[in-house]
Amino acid sequence: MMKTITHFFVLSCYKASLLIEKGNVLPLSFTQRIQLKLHTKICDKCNNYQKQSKWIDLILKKQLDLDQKKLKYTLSDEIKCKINSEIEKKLKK
Amino acid sequence: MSLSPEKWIENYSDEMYRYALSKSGDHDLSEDLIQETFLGALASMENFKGDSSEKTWLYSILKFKIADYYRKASTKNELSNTLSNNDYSDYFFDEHGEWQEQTSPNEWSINASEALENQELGLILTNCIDKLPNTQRQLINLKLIEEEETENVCKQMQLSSNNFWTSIHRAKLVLRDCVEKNWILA
Repeated sequence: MMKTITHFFVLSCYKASLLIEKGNVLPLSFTQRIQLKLHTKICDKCNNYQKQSKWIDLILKKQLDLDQKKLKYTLSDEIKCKINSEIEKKLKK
Repeated sequence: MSLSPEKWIENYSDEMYRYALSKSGDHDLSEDLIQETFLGALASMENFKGDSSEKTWLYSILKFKIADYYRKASTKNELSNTLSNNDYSDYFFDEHGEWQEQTSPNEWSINASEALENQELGLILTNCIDKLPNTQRQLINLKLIEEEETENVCKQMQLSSNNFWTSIHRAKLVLRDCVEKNWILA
């Protein structure tokens, strides 16, 4: 019951977690920020979600960066040739 | 500034390929994007005003191609393959939009800096992300683009579209749940 009242004034957990994802990428509006702050203050589950969602992003980002450094990926020669021949064709015109 | 397409591959292709790879985490997709970028650049050479460098111009085309890909992907059905919109919200939320008990986020007995260094968590996360459908994995990666670019890309992609956000949301819910279910510490 208490939770239902909370959601009426604040946000449902569904909406709060959606806002968390948005907020990880874009600035939220003033109202959205307040709503989210209020919600995560009283809702442990969403508070956990907010932290863990951020961690997941950070770990994945770190892994991507490491990946890039470890393996000096290059575009395959096949594709390079293909594009170059297209470029030559166009330049000859 | 003028363009020298005959040098594009030699000068930029590997670097741009790695850039695309870092945004998509997908080799085949990155190859396609690079091809499209150079061919697109070739077709629109007359639009090059010379007020930016050749490199900047090529990158702006690549960024547009990446953004365009994600915009299309987020509206494609592929995203709903695993769980349809209703199924996914039912799986994680009840009719009031409150967490379902069995999939709700429990506290992980770890703090922020430990989380980043924890190798087991990193491994589990890798396994979990491999289980996601391609498009969802790419959407997650897209979120990881450098801060200063995010807003730009978002504008290009009209990321405010609800569809995009529910797709990201769904992918993250699945991912988080997968990590928690496979992690002893959680």
